[in-house]
Amino acid sequence: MMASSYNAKEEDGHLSGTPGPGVVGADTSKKPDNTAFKQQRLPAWQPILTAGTVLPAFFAIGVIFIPIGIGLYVTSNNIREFEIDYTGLEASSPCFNCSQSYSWNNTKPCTCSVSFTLDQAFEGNVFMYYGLSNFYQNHRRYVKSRDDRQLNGDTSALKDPSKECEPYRKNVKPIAPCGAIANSLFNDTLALYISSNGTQIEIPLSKKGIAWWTDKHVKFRNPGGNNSNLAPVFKDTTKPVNWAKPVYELDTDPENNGFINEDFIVWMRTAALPTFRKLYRIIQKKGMTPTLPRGNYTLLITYNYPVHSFEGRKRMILSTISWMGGKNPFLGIAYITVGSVCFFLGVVLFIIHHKYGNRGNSSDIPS
Amino acid sequence: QRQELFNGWQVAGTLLFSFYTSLVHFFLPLGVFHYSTLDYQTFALTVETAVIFSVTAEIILQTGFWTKFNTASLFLSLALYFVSTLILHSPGLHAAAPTDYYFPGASLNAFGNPLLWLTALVTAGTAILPSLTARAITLVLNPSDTHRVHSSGLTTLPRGPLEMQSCFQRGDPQRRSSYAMSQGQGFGRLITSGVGLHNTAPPQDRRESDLDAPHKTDTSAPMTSQ
Repeated sequence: MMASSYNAKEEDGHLSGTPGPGVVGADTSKKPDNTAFKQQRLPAWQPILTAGTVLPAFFAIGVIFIPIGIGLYVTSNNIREFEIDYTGLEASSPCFNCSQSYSWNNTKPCTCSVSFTLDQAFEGNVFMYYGLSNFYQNHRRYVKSRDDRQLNGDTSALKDPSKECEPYRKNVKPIAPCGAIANSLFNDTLALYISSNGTQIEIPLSKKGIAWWTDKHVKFRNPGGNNSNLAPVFKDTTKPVNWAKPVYELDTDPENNGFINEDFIVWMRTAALPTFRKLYRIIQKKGMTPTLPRGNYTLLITYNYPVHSFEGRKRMILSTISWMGGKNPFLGIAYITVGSVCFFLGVVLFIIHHKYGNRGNSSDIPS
Repeated sequence: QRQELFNGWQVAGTLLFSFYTSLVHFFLPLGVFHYSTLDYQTFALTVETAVIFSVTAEIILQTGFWTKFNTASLFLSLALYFVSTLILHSPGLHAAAPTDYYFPGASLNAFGNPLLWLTALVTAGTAILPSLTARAITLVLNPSDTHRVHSSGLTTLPRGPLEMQSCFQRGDPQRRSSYAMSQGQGFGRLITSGVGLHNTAPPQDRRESDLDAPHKTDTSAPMTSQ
């Protein structure tokens, strides 16, 4: 039982002293005002904690956390996810030739195709991600290597990029977009085909709506306003060193060209951890039929991005989505663990309380 | 002088607790964000929110007296955190100085994601678990005196530590056995001086009821026991 007393906090406002010699009059005294605040007489609520209050708190936390954890774990298990690693380091992998024969001056892009089977149908919107591992997009120097004013459409920053972009700042002419993050843009293209009746049918992949709305409409703006012809706007700049095409040729759609290209925006939003995935395309749901029915599929990859030098790996992930995002069993397990630890602590404390806490209530008189 | 607030054990315990809290605040969100599509700024916001929650929980545990100022400052600090995050991440500030305020839209996107709230909640809960347990253990092993006064009422004698200050002490002139009294002067003087009358009153401080010691107060002091 918790007894709460409406306790008036009292403290003797002991006078800081009679006025010193030579000082006369009450207006110069150092007495603090006689208000409730200054004399510390505020009404206060003092929770009186007893064993009877605190122990149920432990059990309550345990009882709240464990069902949340179970709910999260079950939700996460219901999310369908499929992953293919297509780095191609093993000789048996279809992309082995592409991974070995990489060179910067490749004019003919290397393509490889990987076949896979989906055992369960995917319902609703299916999200297609590319995943990289051992790629530290959170390295401090890398994260700073960008010019946000240039990306916001500032024409003066377009011609004179920020010093943070070094060494990807100028290549005879100023680089647009400058910096290491833009330079390392992921440029593999992935296409998905389903085999039905012996033929390969391409699955339509939507490239709209993959970036944050605030990113696409506020943070990233093309210089020169809403000009749909971007080539003259960028005329005194050059493309980043590792890009095949300049930034104003990223897409034929003027809404997705230049700095507001959604793949570019998604890449520029640096990931938190060295193993990450980024949204690549969305497969829209179509009516009542499953979006990706069971069957054989083929993934056609244009292998442009070299990961061998830093021992990274590349993956393609297909996943459905729930209210908590993608598949994340860790959160459910964390809740269940913390809840059970709390519950266990509550039990232990209860045992301690029973064995030792009642010692003071015994009626033998100490001699 | 008893080194209660700053001794070696206290420092070591505090260091260990802060080490544990830092690890929890990093590794739990790391586990959630591992191989996820969420970005660096959302991760930062998750850890920030978790830290704010656990610090607020610690303050709630430490506050003994809840005045209206305490409650107000608690809510104000939480509100200020969310408001200032939203302001610092607003597009307006980004338009003014894009290189300084490069988090536009991060808080709106992140706070709309339930994963952030769930992660912050479980991280804060894990971080305060040791301090909560320590408080509970001290409470269970040393129940406070205020609890006893309220539960047993003022009419019965308080027990427990107060029992140590019992009125019966060795050499007490008011508590001699009858055998001892018969060897000496006897009960006469005790009865006529009225010392025994004070034993019926609730136990007071020893000095006040000791008539043998001369009073050192002013003559204008109110009448003492007589």
